[in-house]
Amino acid sequence: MTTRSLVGARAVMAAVLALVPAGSAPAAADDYELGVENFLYRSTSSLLNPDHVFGLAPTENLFRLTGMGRKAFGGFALKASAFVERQTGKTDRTSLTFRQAYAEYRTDAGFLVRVGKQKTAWGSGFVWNPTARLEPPKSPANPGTEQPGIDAIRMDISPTDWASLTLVAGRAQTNLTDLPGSLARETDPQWTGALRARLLFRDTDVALTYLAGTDREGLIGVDLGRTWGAVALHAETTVYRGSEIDPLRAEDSFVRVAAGALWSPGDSILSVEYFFNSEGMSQSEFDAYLARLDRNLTAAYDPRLPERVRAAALAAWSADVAVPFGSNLGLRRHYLSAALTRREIVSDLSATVRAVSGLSDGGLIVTLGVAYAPSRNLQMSLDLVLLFGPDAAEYKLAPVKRAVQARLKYSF
Amino acid sequence: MRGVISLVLLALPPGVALVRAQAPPPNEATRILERAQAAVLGDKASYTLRMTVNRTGKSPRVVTMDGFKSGDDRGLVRYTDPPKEKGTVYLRRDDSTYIYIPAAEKVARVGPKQTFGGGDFNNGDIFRLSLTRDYEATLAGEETVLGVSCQVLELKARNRGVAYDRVRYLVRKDGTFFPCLAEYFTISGKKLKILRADEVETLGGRKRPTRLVMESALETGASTELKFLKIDDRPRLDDRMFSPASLERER
Repeated sequence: MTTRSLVGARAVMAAVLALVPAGSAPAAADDYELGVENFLYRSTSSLLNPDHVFGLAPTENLFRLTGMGRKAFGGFALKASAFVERQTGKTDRTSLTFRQAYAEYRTDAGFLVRVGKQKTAWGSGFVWNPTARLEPPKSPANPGTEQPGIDAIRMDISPTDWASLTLVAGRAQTNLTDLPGSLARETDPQWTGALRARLLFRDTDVALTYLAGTDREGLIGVDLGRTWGAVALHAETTVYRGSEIDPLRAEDSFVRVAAGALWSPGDSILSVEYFFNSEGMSQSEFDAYLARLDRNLTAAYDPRLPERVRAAALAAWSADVAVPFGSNLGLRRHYLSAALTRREIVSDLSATVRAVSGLSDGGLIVTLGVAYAPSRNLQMSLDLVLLFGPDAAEYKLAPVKRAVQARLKYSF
Repeated sequence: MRGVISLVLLALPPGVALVRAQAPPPNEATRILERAQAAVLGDKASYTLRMTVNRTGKSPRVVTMDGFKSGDDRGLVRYTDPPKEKGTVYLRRDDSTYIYIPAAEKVARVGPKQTFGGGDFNNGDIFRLSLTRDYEATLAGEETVLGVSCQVLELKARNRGVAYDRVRYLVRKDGTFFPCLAEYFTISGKKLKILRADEVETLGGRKRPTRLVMESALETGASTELKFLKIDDRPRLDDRMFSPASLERER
């Protein structure tokens, strides 16, 4: 290292240290969890899966043993969360996935530096978070389903008690877990940086986000939150350039807006959220997409065509069929979500009914869930996911008829 | 927590004589209320609290939490036990209340009238940190409650944003200004809850009520107890811990 670079490095280090307030955060208690998850899927023929071309078994199953540990040493902490998964059905395989594995240092003065696989998961939206584009999106069917984080470095500073700044640089990735067989996809990581400023101004939360990466033009996001009487309101919106789904429109700009409300009378929690996705397909574009799928699949298996043409058709079909399972937040333009949770139906038992509707095509996901916590350490939940609507609805494209998701977690 | 303590309003037990005082100067009632607010927790405080929620036919639900307050506008409570609820955080900042739920990895705004932790206290009870700011206090006589002579304060909400329209707040007259009982009413005059403050013990170097019990006037057998286990009236707290951004760093 040259003298000049050494001086520069020292200057950078001094600047960073100047931002670190003295005094670490009160030692948080250590956390440990062990658990079991089982996701059971019933497959079906669909427009994406005509004649069961995916080759899924009638029943596909994901069984997981999960573990999480967090150990604090004053302001320093280490956290790891992982699961071993056994997939049975069309493909029988066992794999290990880390959801998070990081080291961090934080203080009460709002300073945080965190290195490793982690989640950012920001945004006020309950089901859709258009400003949180570093990680895989949440599942609209069950937003509580845990998704893995990304490899990243994060730093937070809080110059005042009403403003904070977050910087994240990481390899954004959209590994969608929780799907069976060949539906579970892994994308190449894309280096992405994000800057988020959060302010509290006259009892209104304001967050401004800028995100850009090697394969992504700039995304600007605004997030607002405010309480109105007994109701908490939020709106999360982004403007970005370049489409995320077909047809590719690299030069066009798009808008996404998620806006909703939360109301909690007594032991009930009621939430609603509307999502607008301006890059979503119009009906004619969606029809063209489905026709292209059918055309390419037919060509791929047409023995009269040359091998080269069939291979190209199969590749085109594969690319198209991946679109619904990619990192996008939806293929269509208008969505509505509503959820009702009732706590303490009987002792330690709560129930949730969630419905997500694709307003553009009449598709509907209904999730019925119960959660039971019979002891100080144990939590169990069971969710039944049902898909309704016309065959051409986005939510009916998936070759899955219904799913049962069961979880058991022991905390200590 | 001063709000909780402040909310300790004296209910008038049946048969207890009410001595109607002369029309008092309003600042006297406010002065008593201010002293009562400071009787349990100081301007800044950190504390450990055990909450027990009782419901007829159900086993009691017990939660232990660490809490912090800074002035009248900032409060933070973090669940530490049971393990299945550990990590849940409530934050009060000015007129906004937030909750962080670890299982959902989500920071959400909640309303001030929403129940706190599934018990009989609501968020406004726990985090409304200045009764003198939210209520106009007047003296309303004296009462004897369980052998203790108390000053009755009548609190009228200054605006509709607060949790209750009217509160009867009873403060000991023995010079301690300890709150002892409170009754909460709707705008129509319906009694909603009764709060009792008792178990005066030395905690954090001085005597103070260490137990608050909120009973529902609408649901028989429903009550929630808050028991202070530890109090530090001189903690070193940075106000930046009382920000919603700090909750986003919890995950």
